[in-house]
Amino acid sequence: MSKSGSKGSYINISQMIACVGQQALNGKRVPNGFEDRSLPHFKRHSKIPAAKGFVSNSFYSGLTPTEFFFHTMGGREGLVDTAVKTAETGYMQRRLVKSLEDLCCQYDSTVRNSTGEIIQFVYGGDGLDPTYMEAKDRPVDFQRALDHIKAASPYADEDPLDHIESQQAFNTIMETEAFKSLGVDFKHELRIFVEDQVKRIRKIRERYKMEGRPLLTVEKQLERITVGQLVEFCEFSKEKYHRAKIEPGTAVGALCAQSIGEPGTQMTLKTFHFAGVASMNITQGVPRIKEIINASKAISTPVISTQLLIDNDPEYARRVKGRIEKTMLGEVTEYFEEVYLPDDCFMLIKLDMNRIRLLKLEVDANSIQWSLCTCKLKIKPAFIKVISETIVIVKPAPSAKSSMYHVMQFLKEQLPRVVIKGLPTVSRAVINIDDTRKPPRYYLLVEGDNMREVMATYGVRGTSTTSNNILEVFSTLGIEAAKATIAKEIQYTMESHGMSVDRRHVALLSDLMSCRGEILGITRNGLAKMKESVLMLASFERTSDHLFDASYYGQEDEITGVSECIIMGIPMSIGTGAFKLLHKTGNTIPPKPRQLIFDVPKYHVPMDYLKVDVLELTFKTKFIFLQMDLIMIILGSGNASIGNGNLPFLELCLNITGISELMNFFISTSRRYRIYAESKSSINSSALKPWGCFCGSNEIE
Amino acid sequence: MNFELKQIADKNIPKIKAAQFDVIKHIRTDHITMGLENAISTGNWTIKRFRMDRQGVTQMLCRLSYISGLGMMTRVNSQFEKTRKVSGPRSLQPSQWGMLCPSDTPEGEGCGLVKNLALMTHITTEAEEEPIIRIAQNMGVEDINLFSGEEISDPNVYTVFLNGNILGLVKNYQRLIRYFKLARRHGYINAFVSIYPHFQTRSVYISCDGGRLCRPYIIVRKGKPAVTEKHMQELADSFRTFEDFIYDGLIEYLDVNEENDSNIAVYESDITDESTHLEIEPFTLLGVCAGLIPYPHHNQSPRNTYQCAMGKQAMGTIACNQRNRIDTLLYNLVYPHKPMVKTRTIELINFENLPAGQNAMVAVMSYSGFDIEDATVLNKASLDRGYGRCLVYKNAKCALKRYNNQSSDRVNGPMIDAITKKPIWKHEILDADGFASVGQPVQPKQILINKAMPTAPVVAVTPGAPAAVPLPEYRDVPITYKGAIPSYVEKVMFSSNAEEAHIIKIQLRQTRRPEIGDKFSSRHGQKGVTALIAEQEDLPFTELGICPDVIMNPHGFPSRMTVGKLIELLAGKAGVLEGKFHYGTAFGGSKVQDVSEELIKHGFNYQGKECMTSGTTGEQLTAYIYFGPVYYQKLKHMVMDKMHARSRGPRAVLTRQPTEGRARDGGLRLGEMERDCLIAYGSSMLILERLMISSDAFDVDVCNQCGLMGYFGWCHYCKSSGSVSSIRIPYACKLLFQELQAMNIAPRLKLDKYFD
Repeated sequence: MSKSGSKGSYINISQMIACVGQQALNGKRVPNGFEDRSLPHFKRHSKIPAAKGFVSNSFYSGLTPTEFFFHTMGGREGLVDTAVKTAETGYMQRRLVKSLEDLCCQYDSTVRNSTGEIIQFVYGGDGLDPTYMEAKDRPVDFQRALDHIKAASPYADEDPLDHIESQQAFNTIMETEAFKSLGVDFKHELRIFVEDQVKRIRKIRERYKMEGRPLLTVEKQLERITVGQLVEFCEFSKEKYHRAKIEPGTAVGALCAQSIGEPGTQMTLKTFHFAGVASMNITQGVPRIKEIINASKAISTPVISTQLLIDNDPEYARRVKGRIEKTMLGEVTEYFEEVYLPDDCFMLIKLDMNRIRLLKLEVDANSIQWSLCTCKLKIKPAFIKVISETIVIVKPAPSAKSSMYHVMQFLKEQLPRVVIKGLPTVSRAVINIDDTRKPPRYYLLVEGDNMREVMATYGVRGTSTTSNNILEVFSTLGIEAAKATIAKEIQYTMESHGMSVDRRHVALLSDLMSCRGEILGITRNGLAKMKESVLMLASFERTSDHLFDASYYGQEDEITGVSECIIMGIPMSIGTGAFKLLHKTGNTIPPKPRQLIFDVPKYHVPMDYLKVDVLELTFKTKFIFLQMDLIMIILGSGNASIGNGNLPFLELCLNITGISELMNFFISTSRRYRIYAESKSSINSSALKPWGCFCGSNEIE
Repeated sequence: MNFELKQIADKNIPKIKAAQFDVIKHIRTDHITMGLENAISTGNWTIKRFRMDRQGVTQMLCRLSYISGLGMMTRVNSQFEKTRKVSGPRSLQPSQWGMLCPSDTPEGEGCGLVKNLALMTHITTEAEEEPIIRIAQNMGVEDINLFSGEEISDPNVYTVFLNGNILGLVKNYQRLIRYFKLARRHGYINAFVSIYPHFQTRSVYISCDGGRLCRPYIIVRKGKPAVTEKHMQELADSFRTFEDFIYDGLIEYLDVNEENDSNIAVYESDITDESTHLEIEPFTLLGVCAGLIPYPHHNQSPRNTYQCAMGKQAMGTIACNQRNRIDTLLYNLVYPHKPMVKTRTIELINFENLPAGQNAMVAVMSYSGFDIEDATVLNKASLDRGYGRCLVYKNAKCALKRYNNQSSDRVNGPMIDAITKKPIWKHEILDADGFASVGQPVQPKQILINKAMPTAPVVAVTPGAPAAVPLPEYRDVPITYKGAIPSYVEKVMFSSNAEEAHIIKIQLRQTRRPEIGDKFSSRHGQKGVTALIAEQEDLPFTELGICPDVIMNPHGFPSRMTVGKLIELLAGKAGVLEGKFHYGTAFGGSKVQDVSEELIKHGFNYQGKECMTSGTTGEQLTAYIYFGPVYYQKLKHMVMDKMHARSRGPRAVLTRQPTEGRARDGGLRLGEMERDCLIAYGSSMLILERLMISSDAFDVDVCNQCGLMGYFGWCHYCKSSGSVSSIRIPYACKLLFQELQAMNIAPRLKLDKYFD
């Protein structure tokens, strides 16, 4: 079944038949549960495979008791992981969804949130939908498309093109109207691909010397591409590209959150991959994603990777390492001596010059004196004396609180821990050798925080320094660099577990985190800074706090985002709610009257009477006529005024004395009017009720 | 208690009364009893002073099956909260060897925190300290007060502790340990006292307290185990008992700390010069539930863990007195079998007398396409013959209470229909005394007990006349049968409890036949739901004409690696042919070689495969099918208890949303994550429909001026109905606003036109 791929893989078969293998807990072999040994069945300090969890039997031959126990230990770790991981990733996905849910791709191809702020100017940089990506991040897999066209439409009766003709044909196609509207990137890639094909045609032609002579039938099949095929290929690619464009209204935010949250469920909670370097272990998996998303200030394994100015010299590398790595006084001294003389007492520090030379540190007695003065112990310069190149004397300062003896003991304890060289925030610097290129290059990996200082160290190429601590990058290099780092880190973590997430989702997430000018984490605090809606924040975590604060400050919540719309029962403004639907209420344009068959015009009765009647009936009250953009207020006495829009302002005052003049006025302007009648004496537009409709050339309805 | 007494005292002492205030009269007699009863019955133990709030300290013993009850007795619960995400306490520690079962732990929240004892674990009880102190002092332990600092810090001098308290110092600790152990092996010291050295702190610890886990081992002297063949013979002849072995110094109990100091050999062949002990039997490493699994050392370990969880849900027989018990819920298998492939643990725990499954003939092949993703296909004729049939017993109970005014509940007889002279349909099954008679089929909505309760009568007190107790009125509160399918009345019990109230319990029985949706599993964590019940004619048959009862999909094997099931099938087949039961004990059991030999002897394929003919076409199947008996368990998850549908139905009172749960005819929840999926689709109207229109849409009138909600077109705050508009919001939203208003927060709504 493993061959056909329906179930199982080669490792299942081998475990059942051949050998189960080494059980690993936490990335290591079985630990010592009893003193110096894993089980009391083995000798102490025994490192044989069987004592450390190697199961040499297969499932078919059966496990021995100790092997069974070790195998169960490994299996239990998996079960515990599954039980614990679901809660962790579930929470992470919830946070992601709550912060990303109202992002929507708009009709102007920007990605905006519910309040209208722009998060991305073009979605993913190119406006393409990740669902329709064929090749890795590309909308069209050109090679496959070309093969498909060549196979599906052979155009058997057309001649193949040679390289010049094909290049010309392609250029002509590119000039056509339809192709001008394609994206720049896509056109560029298409061009490169076609030129590559052209090169292949040329190579073949040169190889078989097919220039300038009629070709044999079989030669015509080599690298055959005809005009029809080329046209169809370009059309096909263009169609695919257009289909791959993202539709306005797509809920890109929710898609992004789910696309990042779901692979999180698949990642095991902690596996340690030693990323190529033996002694570094960077946090992997779900804890790392959590750190990145939370934008935590202090992460568990901050690593600054640097390149050196001269990167093929190990000596140079060691010197730079010495400059960066935190070196303490205790590491470079031969001994500390407490010297008690009858009239004096002091601490004598003897430096180990060999060691200093070995570590390539640039320290000497004077620099140590300087470090001692500037360290936390606050030893005044008067109390330190440099006797020789290797001997430094520190006199204890008599203090009121404790006797000289205690001060001496205190010094004895604290002096070895004074930092004499290197950055105090850096715990370790490791030289990493990259063997893949000749000559081997040396990189420096610094475990620690202070990126600015590391960049400024002499010997480090500051322009190629990166860190994996997002806030560090933000404070040193700015927001755009931090945004790029977020995307890079998430991609790296996902890929090292074998899961690939489309870069557009990651880009959207990093854009959202940096949209306010600083890096905001996806936590309840960060979310409160990103969003303004009270109901949405209240529905996330600290419900009562947000509601009380909002009421205290008199906050107004515009119900535009998704959560609020669902709470209030309004259709949300994402997806099918990105546009509103209006429908006509009744046909206000009456249909044209058809000519009557037996029409005798002289029997027509003028309709003036009707109009007059109606108007007379209501002439005593006040009318307000509403036109498309004019309001006419006819006061009871017959004055008419025309106003603007909905506001009953009086702009023009027409003195209309009689109905007939009114009618003439209507007919002359030949516009449509609506007649509203007031219910009260005050002119309040909101209390108007539509009374009838009058069209300039027709009757009152 | 003090608080109540103080209140009573405060009330009464200032009053001038004849008798002196006696506190004792006001102390409730049952305070301690009630407290203990409450704590034990609910399992919530709270002590306010120490801020202890522990839940689940006592639990009801689970009587789903015999193994579940037995397994619960061996359970060890850990103090850590289940919500902590640290994986340290949850992982399997090597020091749990032999004391706690490695495979038996629940999956999910309590994984690794809830453990079970292994087979031979013993929990120590406290032993007297005095004799130990005396013996230790005789062996060279000297009081520490007699020594100076230099002698104490001498590298050869070890401190001796007893249960954590310093006993003294000893110069030659090895001699002390040796003699101590000798004394223990000869019975002078309690067998459960342990002594062990700790090199880093230069101390020797002696423990005699209770609560330690310990395990017996065979003592090995000079490369030879102390227990010989002669001793085993005497044990078999019942001349010796297990205790004799301990008193004679052949076996001793080691707890975890002493295990640290010893060198244990697993098998006799592994004994070296340094071995101090020998395992009695390696299969005792596992507990009771894992002992059910045949050949567990051929399975992948998570599968063993799953089986330990499922074995407790298998249906079978509960106990030998199950006919006399009336449980709330009791599952019984109609025809339980002993397993063909058993283990020594099964014999030890008496599983063969109370088994929980049946041996089914299993064919491992793909059939009909209904068996994808662990589904199984069952044989209809086997079901007709009683395979997998189960009985479900439920009970209905009520109490007839007595009231203060000398009246009590009573039970009326059946109501007779005047016309037909027969009881009305509801009361059809009732006997003359008002209880359902035994053996009657009960339909849903029929009455089981026709109970009537007295209503509180209005007593008119006429001054002067003696207070005559008027006849109380009774109203009917019958106990109705609420199931969805009919049951039969099995037993009616009429008894009384301590307060003289009568208790009536009626046991109802349903016989259920396996149908599509019922869950079955083998003993290796291979669970599946029946997906198809095929006719026997359609199923393939072997050369001997045997049809399989269960068809299992072979895709369940490669990724799960339960080789134990394959071997169980082989051993079961050989056992059926030979007529004997094979053993599938862990680290032992019948070997595959021998089993295959037996198969060949009877003329079958040594690999267990058969040549089968298809039932539908009559042709021989082109592949050989692995065919044989496997012990299958029926689990308690049956589709009849779970199936549920609702179109419209009851609503919760507070939120006016559909109710929750099958019992209340509830709806299914569209949770937050499902809402996210709908958002990702962009279907705004669908969300609106699902979450508001189909759930709790509600029309409110909102005043445009003040923004608060009014009613009937009238705004209460503005005292006008001039600017009231009607909108439709979810009722939960209206509830939220009103709750906020109750907290003095005014959520005002500002209305806008839909379009401008």
